Amino acid sequence: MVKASVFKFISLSFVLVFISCSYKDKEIRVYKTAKKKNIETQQQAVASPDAPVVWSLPKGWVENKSSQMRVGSFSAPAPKGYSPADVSVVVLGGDAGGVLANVNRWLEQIELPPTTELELMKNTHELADQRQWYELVNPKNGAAIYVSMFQLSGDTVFVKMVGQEKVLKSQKSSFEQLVSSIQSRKK
Amino acid sequence: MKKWGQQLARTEIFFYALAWLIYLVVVGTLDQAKIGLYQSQLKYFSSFYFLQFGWLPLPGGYPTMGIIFIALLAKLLFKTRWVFSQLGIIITHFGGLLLLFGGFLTAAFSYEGSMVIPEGQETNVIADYHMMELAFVDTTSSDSEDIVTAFSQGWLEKGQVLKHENLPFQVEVLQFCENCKMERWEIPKGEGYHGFSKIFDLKPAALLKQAESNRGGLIFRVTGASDEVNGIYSVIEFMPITQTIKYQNRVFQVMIRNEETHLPFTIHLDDFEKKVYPGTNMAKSYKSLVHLKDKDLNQKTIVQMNQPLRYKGYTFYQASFIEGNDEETTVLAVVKNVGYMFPYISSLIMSFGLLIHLILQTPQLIKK
Repeated sequence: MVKASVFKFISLSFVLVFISCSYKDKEIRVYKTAKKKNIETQQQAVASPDAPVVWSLPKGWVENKSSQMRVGSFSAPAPKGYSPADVSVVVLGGDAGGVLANVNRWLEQIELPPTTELELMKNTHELADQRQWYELVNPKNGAAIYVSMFQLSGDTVFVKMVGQEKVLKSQKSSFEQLVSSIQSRKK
Repeated sequence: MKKWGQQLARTEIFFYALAWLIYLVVVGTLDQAKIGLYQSQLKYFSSFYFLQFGWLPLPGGYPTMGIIFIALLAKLLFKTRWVFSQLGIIITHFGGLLLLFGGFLTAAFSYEGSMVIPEGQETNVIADYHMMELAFVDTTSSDSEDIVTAFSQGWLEKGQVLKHENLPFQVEVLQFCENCKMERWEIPKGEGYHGFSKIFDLKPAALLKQAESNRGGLIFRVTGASDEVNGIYSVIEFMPITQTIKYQNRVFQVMIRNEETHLPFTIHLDDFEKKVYPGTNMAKSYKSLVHLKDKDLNQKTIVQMNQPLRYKGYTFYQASFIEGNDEETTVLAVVKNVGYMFPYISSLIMSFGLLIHLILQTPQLIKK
């Protein structure tokens, strides 16, 4: 009899507490906090702590998971009906093969013939800190690449945005902002 | 009740429930690679049921563990003979029940979050890894303090109306998504839309494998204020510009964020030290030199890999760091688990029970 009562009590308590705990809390908390400025660095917490560079994420961009090659990976928003642009930040040692060889490789990706340094100058945009970016567009199929490569603490940093020309045009200033914001972690 | 108890005490029930638990562990582990650790844990273990193949409902971890607990309890009370010769068995069963009870405490009351402290600053705020909240921060109440009114995630369901005496308006939830994607309106919205919602629409997106990469978002309607203030707003995590609502000479910042817990003590980061492998940027070790401050206590301590800080039931582990241009920021993982001692205690009790059983049964074994 005692055993039956004990069993009943423990089993029912267990089931009731278990069910009540599994419901989502509906709680309203009110408290006071010292005034604080938004900790901007929290936004950067998603960046891998091992990434050799840091950056400021442009407004509206979404950070994706980085990979072995990409130290930064983002989606830039697109106008309705278009896919978001894919943006990557890659850091390689040395001069990484030079500008022209890399540009010709990217031109091939959007089905364009190789270019010359003189031709490339026409599509080069200048930023502060002697950083440049190149606008590569295939008018036939609308495919485009905006890419910047520059030296930073002995490494070469590649910032590349790939997508449809219309999408990339809408994100031009954000792309420039990202390129300008990149700094080395090395002190 | 006794009859029921004897039925539940049947060994088959315990056996099949345990076999089912093994199945859950296997499918949960396999699915983890696809949907991520947290989602897998929610789907298979912290659930009453889950849909196998997307349509077949099967029992999840809660009923399975519940059946195991009740079957073990029934076995101990109704099937085990309460005599001295069975002492080892009784102790072992008791240890098993205690282990399950500890698991229950962990499932129901454990807490995990992160604490972000820039060098030279201090904080008492922990951000939950998974649960979110909608916070209204009244920035106009005083010069030194803000008043926060925070609604937990349980409130963030479509159709819910949020009211509080601190808010001079009410809020109706139109859409909440744990991971949202932003889509720019083709033509920016006009009257009735405010701030961020004028430019972007929020659409639910699939949850990411890395739970911390999800960006929660909310679309809501404000009513009960003036015509200029009433209307549709939206907020998303990590918004570069905070959404504000200005009404009756008060300014409210509206934020969707990981649920914040404010500890009764603070941690000050004095310095962050990082060592790298020579010739690389790979971190070899990193540690935080901190001051723990609580009323009269002001204790200097170090948090580093394999050397957490334990205080008032919270454990702070060195998890990560953010390297800025001028200062570094440490990221501490914070865990509070009221059931953390149960596995140790119950394992000791079970070992002791088995030892007693062996000692008590040895004379009979020798006789045979």
